Amino acid sequence: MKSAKRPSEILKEKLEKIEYSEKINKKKFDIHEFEKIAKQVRETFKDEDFQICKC
Amino acid sequence: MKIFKSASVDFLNDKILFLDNNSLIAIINNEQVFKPFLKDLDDCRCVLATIPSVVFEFTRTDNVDGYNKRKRFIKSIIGLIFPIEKYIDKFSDLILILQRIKGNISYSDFLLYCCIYNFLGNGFLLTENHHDFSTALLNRKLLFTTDDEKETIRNIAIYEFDRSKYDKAAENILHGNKIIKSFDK
Repeated sequence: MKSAKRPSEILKEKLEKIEYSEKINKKKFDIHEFEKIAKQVRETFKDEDFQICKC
Repeated sequence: MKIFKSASVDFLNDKILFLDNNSLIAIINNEQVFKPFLKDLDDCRCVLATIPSVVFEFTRTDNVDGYNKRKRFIKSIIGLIFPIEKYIDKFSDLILILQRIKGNISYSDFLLYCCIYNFLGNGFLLTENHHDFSTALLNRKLLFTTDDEKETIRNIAIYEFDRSKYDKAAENILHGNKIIKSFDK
């Protein structure tokens, strides 16, 4: 009988992964893509995330 | 919103520019202001880089959507996530010197110092944290001042590691000098 997945495993599958590498990825900077993603990210920040160091 | 730049970015031709969490957030908050700068960096083949602990700081949140969007942002502008901790043993001297000069800096800041030391001459740092990344060991190569609609003025700078300041700091430790105020040449 196949065992059900744990909730933590299902959650993990929903989260995007990123590769930490010494290899440089020389992709071209896409301004339109950047604008779109920056706007989306800005919307997800909570107030406390903006409390960054001001020196 | 305006941006004032103190110099050209030509010195970043084919170089690596590391970003800390503050600079990533500054870019997110002022994307229109930073767009021409990012385009200039792209034109001079400068690679934007960061480290795993900064990715951790930047993406920490308690919701799936927010986490994924921040990861996508990192993927969209960062060309190198350098696993600096793998080489931490190589920097025992730097860690000792930093502890003497800036003993209370964060773990990520220690690691970013290690990065620009590791890529000496080729690696630079973009940060708004001028307290922890000071000219005691670094040179400020370029300064941006942003002036937004709320009339908030922010200063973001590009720093490089200075080998001669570093050697003087090492000398001070070797000679048991307790107070290090300046390493000006």
